[in-house]
Amino acid sequence: MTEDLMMKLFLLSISFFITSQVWSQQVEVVKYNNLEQRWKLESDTLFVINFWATWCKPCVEELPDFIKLDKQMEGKPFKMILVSLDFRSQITKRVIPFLKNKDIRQEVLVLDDDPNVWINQVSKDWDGAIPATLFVKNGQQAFYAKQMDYSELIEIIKNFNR
Amino acid sequence: MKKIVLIISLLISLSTFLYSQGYNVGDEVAGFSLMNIDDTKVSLSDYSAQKGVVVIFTCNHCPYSVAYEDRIIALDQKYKSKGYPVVAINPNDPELYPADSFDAMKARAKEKGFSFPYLFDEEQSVYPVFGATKTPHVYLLNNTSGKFSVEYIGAIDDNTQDASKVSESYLSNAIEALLKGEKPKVTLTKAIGCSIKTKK
Repeated sequence: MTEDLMMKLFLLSISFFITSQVWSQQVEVVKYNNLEQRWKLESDTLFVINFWATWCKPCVEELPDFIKLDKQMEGKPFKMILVSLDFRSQITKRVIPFLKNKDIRQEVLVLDDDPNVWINQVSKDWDGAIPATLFVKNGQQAFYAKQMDYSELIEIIKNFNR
Repeated sequence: MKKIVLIISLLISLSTFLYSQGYNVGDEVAGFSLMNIDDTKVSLSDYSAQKGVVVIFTCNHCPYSVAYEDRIIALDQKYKSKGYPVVAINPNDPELYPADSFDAMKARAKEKGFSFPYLFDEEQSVYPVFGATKTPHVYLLNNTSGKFSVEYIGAIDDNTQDASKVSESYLSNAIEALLKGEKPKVTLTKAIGCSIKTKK
């Protein structure tokens, strides 16, 4: 009886462990330079880097339009990264439950770096208010520090494909 | 290609235009008068006997603001007696963020024991004059015979998430410089914050 219970508890904790591992793999904590490497190494791909957070209302409002765009671009040299500015301590408490709840399958990273350095690396004109989105392809960049909708996103993407 | 160059140059001029709204370091600050959580009006001119004022745009709903509450209280307690008291201003529209209503401000100030005024920019008319775009957003003002000028704009320090891991205390450093009769070495810093939202 006790052994049986022990076994059940063991299996339960194993399965908990596995599930939490799977989810935490999806939300890695990165420095800005790691992030920048991504588009520097893949110059044929258009990267859309959206800076957001679970607590940011306009960010959450625009997310469905970004996801719609990502689905629209499926099969093309296109990569969307949702860079969360939630605190590290909120990853398991807020970020992962949020992603599960909204069924967000896009790549999500949490950026934790010196803001006075990396904000300027994104854009000299940005002061750090979110939402903000960076579009990069092979050295060509566009940056918008505002909430955007699907039609605006499509317009920007068109300019990149010319 | 010409079109792209044109678009890019338009964007640059537009962003420069947007960016130049509000105060820059060195600018003289216009007076303001806003309702405090004790239901009395607080004006910048009330501080004319002080060496300066630490104006911090902040609010209840934003985790980046909440993370700084204890540090803002500590700053006020440290620098009020030295002539640089904190004045906090909530610039948000409570219709968009109910957690930032005047009643919620009163409740939060009581709960945390704010030692400084917490003003409500109800008309959303003061934050655009400063050029604040997010919370928290600091403007350190220095008083020269009744005229306040901006000496530092930006972040409180370089680690929002963990006060114990701060390596640069930008705001304290700037106040300490002014106390010594010097100009702050770092006058502009950037940080992540919650956008100030308006219906307009």
